[in-house]
Amino acid sequence: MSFQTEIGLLDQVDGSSTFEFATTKVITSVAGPLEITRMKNEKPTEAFLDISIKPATDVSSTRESFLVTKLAKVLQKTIDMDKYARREIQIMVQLLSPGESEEYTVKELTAIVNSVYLSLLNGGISLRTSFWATCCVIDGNGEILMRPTNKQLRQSVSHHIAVFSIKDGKSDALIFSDSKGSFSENELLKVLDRCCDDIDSFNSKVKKVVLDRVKRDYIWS
Amino acid sequence: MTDTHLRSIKFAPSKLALIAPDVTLKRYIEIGLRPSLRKFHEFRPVIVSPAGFSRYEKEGKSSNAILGSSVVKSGSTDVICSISAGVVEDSQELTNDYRLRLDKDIIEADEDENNSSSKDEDHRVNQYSSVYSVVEVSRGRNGPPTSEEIELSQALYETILHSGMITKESLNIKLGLKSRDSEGKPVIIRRYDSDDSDILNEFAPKKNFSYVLYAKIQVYSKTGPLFDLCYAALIKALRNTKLPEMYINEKETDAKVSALRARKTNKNDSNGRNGSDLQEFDLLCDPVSFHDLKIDEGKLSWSSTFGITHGSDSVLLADPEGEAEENIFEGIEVVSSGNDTLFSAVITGNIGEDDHAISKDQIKEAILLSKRRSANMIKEL
Repeated sequence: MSFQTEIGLLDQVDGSSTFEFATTKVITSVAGPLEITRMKNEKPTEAFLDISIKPATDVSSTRESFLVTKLAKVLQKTIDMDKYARREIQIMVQLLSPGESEEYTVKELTAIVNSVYLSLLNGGISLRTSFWATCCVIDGNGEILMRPTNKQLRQSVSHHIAVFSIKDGKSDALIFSDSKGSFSENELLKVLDRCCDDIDSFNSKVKKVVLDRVKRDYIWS
Repeated sequence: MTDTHLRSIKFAPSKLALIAPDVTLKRYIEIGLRPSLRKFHEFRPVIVSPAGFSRYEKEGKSSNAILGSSVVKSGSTDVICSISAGVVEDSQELTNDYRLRLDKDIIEADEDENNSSSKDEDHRVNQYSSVYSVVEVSRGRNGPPTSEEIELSQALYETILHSGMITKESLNIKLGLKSRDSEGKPVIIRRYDSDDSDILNEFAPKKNFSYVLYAKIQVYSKTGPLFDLCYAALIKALRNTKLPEMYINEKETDAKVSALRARKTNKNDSNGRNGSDLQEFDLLCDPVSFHDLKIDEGKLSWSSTFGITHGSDSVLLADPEGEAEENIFEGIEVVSSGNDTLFSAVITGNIGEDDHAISKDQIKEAILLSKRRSANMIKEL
């Protein structure tokens, strides 16, 4: 299984991308660094992240607010926040197809993290590290299924998402992980290993996608 | 010319913790202490007790709508949790009908993935229910909920839902029927009174009703990780929650009555509902009889939070508390049953520069500590 992405499709913002995998599709945009839009948000030593996530149907609820806090945890350490002191970076996320029931958010968060990463690159925002997210479930037989379908998700015993930083083309440090359901310690450690491997398998394609975009953006003589 | 010297400014440790929490923390760790002066792996003492203000805990008749309550104290923090409930009509049967689902646009385009032939009940998540909680952290002023409060509420909801602690079945309402016996005295026939079950089957509404649980959690003088305390308060309150029995009056069961009522209903106030198959019932709560809310005892769990300091002497701090400790970004939050089962694990790490990465050993250590902590604390719930 693989993913589809389109980078830089919006021209009114600094960076944008769509990201699609296993029936989950999301479009994100990044604008910044901007002047602070509300003075109370100004932080003297680092950037202020203004993140909003809009669901595919209905209006945002606590479910989306919770996704925002999780995304912020990932971005706070990966964006070079010190570089944009007293500035604001706006990140807009619009889900196009959730690909999962409303009880779950793993697939959406995976797509959001990956799409925001590509948008940040496209927007030229300085990052401290590359990162990538993936998700998986453990089914009733104790099997780990990477990037599950909605049906697999609904029948699963536990579901997990992990975001790793990437160094020298290899997944390196665990930035964020969230596991829900019932699972054992060994299962959790196995899941983290499998997510690591899964992210490695994506690497070459991500590189190619980014490289293609850079080639299109600049004139190389 | 006068010599100007840059005088060094001295701060009290508590002030420095506000200005530069990372520096304070580093200084403490260097001398082998933590700012809260507890041992590295020592948790705060927590007292969990029933609050005693629910309608069934009070002596004599009570008319309040609180069905379960608890108080959790830890240090200067108090958490008060109260459980209330509402009644909803199950739409399960309706939505399982393929034609109705088609009409109602419930069937989505990616049906091949959802596979319409598989029934919804097969799915694990469909067997479980949760409690809608609202967390309020008192800040001395009113205002819209902060992101912290929203995060707590949603995390509690998701953790309880996916742990499978509350089954949908335990929230189903077994409706009784209020009638008169041969002497003309009012009686309530219940489904489980075997003699009268035939009558009930005949008159009972075809629809199913179930309870929805709500929790209000109030936090006073917040210190340390709140999720742990809120989770304990919520589970304690759920464990002493009692649900009232419900019944309908005999006359309501007659289909003609409800049809009449349906016809009378104006299109304007029918709220878009279909008049033809409308059956309305006045469900009444029995003022006296009740039953316990069933909770899967095997899934009782306790939540523990750890902060991880970085640097070469990286240590795990249990229950980070105070300005310097709460400022630690990296952390692990584990909800564990005390044996080998975990219900939630959230790890927040850092990028792998300057020994900042979380190691596997630290994850293992945190899980081990949380298991021990859970084994101790679950008895309190």
